[in-house]
Amino acid sequence: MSGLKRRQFITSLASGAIGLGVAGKLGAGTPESPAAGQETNAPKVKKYNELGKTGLKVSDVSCGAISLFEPNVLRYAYECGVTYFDTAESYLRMKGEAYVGQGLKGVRDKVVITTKHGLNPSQKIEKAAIIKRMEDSLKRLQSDYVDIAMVHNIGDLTPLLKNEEVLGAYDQLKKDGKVRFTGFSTHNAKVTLKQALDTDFPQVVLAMYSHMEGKEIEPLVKAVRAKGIGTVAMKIFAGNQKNLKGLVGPGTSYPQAAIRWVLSNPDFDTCIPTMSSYSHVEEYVAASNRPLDRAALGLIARYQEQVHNTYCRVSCTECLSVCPNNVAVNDVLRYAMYFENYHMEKQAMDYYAELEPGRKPVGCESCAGHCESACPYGLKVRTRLLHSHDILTA
Amino acid sequence: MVRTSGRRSAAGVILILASALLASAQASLSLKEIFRKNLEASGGKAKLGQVKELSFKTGGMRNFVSAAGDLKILVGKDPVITEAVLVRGEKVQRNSLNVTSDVTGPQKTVYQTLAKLYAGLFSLAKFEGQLNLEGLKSFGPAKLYHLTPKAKSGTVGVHFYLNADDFRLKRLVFRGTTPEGDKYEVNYDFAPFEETEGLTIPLAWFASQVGTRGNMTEVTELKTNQPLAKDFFASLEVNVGKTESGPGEMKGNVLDFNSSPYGLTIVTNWTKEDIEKAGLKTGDKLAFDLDGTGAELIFYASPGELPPQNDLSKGARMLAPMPRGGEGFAVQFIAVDSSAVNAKLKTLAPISVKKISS
Repeated sequence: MSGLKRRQFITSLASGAIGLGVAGKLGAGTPESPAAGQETNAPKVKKYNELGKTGLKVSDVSCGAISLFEPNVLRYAYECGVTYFDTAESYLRMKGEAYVGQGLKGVRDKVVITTKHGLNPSQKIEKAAIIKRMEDSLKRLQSDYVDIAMVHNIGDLTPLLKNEEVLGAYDQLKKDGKVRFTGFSTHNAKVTLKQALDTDFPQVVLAMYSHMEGKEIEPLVKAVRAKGIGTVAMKIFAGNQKNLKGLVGPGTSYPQAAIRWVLSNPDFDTCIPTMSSYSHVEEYVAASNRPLDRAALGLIARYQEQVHNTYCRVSCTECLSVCPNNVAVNDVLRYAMYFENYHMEKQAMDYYAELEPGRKPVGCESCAGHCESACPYGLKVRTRLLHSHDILTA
Repeated sequence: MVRTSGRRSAAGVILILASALLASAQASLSLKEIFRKNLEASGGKAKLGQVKELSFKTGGMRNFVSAAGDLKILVGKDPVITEAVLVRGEKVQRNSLNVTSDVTGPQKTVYQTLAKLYAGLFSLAKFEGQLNLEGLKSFGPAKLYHLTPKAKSGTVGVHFYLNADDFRLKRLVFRGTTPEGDKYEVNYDFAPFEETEGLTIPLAWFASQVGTRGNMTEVTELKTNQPLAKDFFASLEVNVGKTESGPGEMKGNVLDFNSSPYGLTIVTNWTKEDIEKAGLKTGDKLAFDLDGTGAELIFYASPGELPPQNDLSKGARMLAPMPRGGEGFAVQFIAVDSSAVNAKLKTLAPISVKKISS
C-alpha cells in the first residue's frame, strides 16, 4: 500500500469511527469536542494576562499547589485553561514539587511554573548550596528549568540584595538556563514592594492581597507593575474562614466573589487560590474574567462584616512598632490562621517553633496591650496572641 | 525518511483510534456493567460475604462497620471514648461526653453514605439498585464514571466517581446546602486501592472543601471479623471513667495526655460540676496524686485568672480549664520536671486532688 493509499485508508477509517460516535474522543483533552455520553460542564479560563514584562502569558485564575493529594487535579486545571502553577520546595513536606511535576508531565512546555526556596540572607549561605537545592527542585518537577524562582517569604529585601552568594546563585542558574526569571514572595509588601522598585532582582512578585487587606499596597503594586514586574496575588480568601453564614449569592459563591475582587485590580496579573481537588478547580476557574457585580460585592460585605474584628491583616503591621516586647504579632497570628483555618496544624507549629524566642508573645499577659490600641480594626490582639501561643505549642 | 514519517503518522492515528474506540466502549457501558466491575474490583460478592465486620482507625477515630451497614465511630484514645456516633438505618446519633443527640442535615447524609461505603469494602455493593449513571466525566486525562443516588437524601447530593479503567472509587463529593441555606461541599479524593489484610481498599484519602485547603486521612489498624459484643452496634456508650467529688477533693481519670518540650498536659474527666462540688476557688493549693506519685498544684477556675504567660513560662504546676477551651479541666506542668508523673500516665488511670490550703 503506497503512502497515499495508506493515508486514504486511515482517513476513511477515521470517518467511520466518527460515524460510530467517537468523534469527541479524537479531541481528547479538548473539552470543546467531548465524546458522546461524556459530561461536559468543565469551566474554562476566559482571560490571559501578560506577566509583567517577562513575555509570559498567564491565566487570570491560576493554581496554588500548597495542599494537594491527587496530581491529576493540576492537569485538570490545565485542561480548564490554567497556565500558571505555584509551588515551593517546602510544600507538602518536600513532596509538593513532585506532585506538580507528576501532574503537569506532558504539558510542561505549555505552562508556567514558579517554585520558591526559603533562604535567610542574613545567615551564612553558600551559592553552591542554593544551586543544588534548585537542581533538586528541578528533579522533583521533572523539568530542565523553572520559569520563575522565588525567594520564599521575604520581609525585607535589603539583606538579600546585599548577599553576593544568593545573587550569584540565581545569576548562575539563569545563565545555565535552569531559571528563567527571579522574584520573591512576601507578607510584608508595604516594605518589600517599595524596595523592589530599586532593584532588578525581581521580575515577578507574589504578595498577599485580598478584599480584607491590600488597599494600602495598591499604589506600590501599580508602581512595580508599571516597572514591568509581574504581579501575583496570594491569600486572596482572607483567612479561609469557614462556617460563616449567608455566603452564597445568586450565581456566585464567596470564593468566586473573592477572586473577582482581586482580579478587578488590573495591576494584578494573576492570583493563586489553592486548588486541592477537581471541585476547587471548577469553582475557581468559573470566576475567570467575571467582573464584580452587586451579588459578589454583597457576599464580600457579608464576609467582612463577620470577620472584620477577628481577622488580622497580616500586612498592616501597625501593631509592630508599638509592641514593647518586639513580638512578631502578625506572624504569630498568621501561624494561628494556618493552624485553625487552613488545618495545617503541624506546619503551623513548625513555623512557630522556628520563630525567635524573643518574638513570641510570652510577655503579653502582663502587658497593657499597646497592640490593641494600635490595631485599626479593633482586634483583641493580646487575647488572640495568648490563644495562638497556646494552640501552637500544645 | 518520508516513508518512516508516514509510518509514524499512521501508527499515531491508529493509536488515537484505539483510544477513541476504548473511550467509546467506556462511554457506552451500562450502569449494570459498571456496577458489576466495581464489585469485582473489590473482590466480588464472595469477598463481601466473608467480611462480617470491618474496623480501622482514621486519625483519632476508630471505625467499626457491620456487613449489614451499621457504623459506629468512636473518638478518644483507647480505651477512652469521649464521643460515639452510631449509624443504624435511618437513624444517626451522637453521644458526646454522655450527652446524646440526633445527627441531622449534611452530616447525617455523610455518615449514612460512609456506612454503606465501608460495609461494601469501599465498593458500591450496598448501593445496588439505588444509583443513576450520570455519564463519563473527563478530568484531564482521567475519565471517571459519575453516579448519583436515585433518591435524594436531605439537602445534600451525593456524587460517586469511579475510575473508568479499574472501576474503583476515586472521588466522593457531597454537595448541597445546609438547613440554614449555606453552601455545603466536601470532596473526598481516594488514593489508589491497595491489597491489605486480604482486602483491596484505599488506605488514604484527602478531604477538602472549596474555599479552604484539605486534610489527608490515613487508614491504620485495619481488621476484619473482630469479636465484638453482641449489642455492639446497638449501644452508644462512651467511656470517660467516673468522677467522685466532695468538699475539698475530687477523684477522676486521665482521658488523654500530651507531652511536649513546653511541658505536660493531662486531660481529666473533671467538669465544672465536680469543681463546684469540691468548692475549689482560684488560688487553692491542691495535692495531686497519680498512682502514688504526687505534685502540688495551683487551681485556676477560668482562663482569665491564669498568671501572665511569662510567669508561667518560668515554671508552673496547675489545674486549669483546657488550654483550647471546652468544658473540661487539665493538669498542666509547664517548664518543670514532670518525668515521674509522665512515666505513670495511661488513659483512664485514676487521679485525685485534695485541697491543702486556700
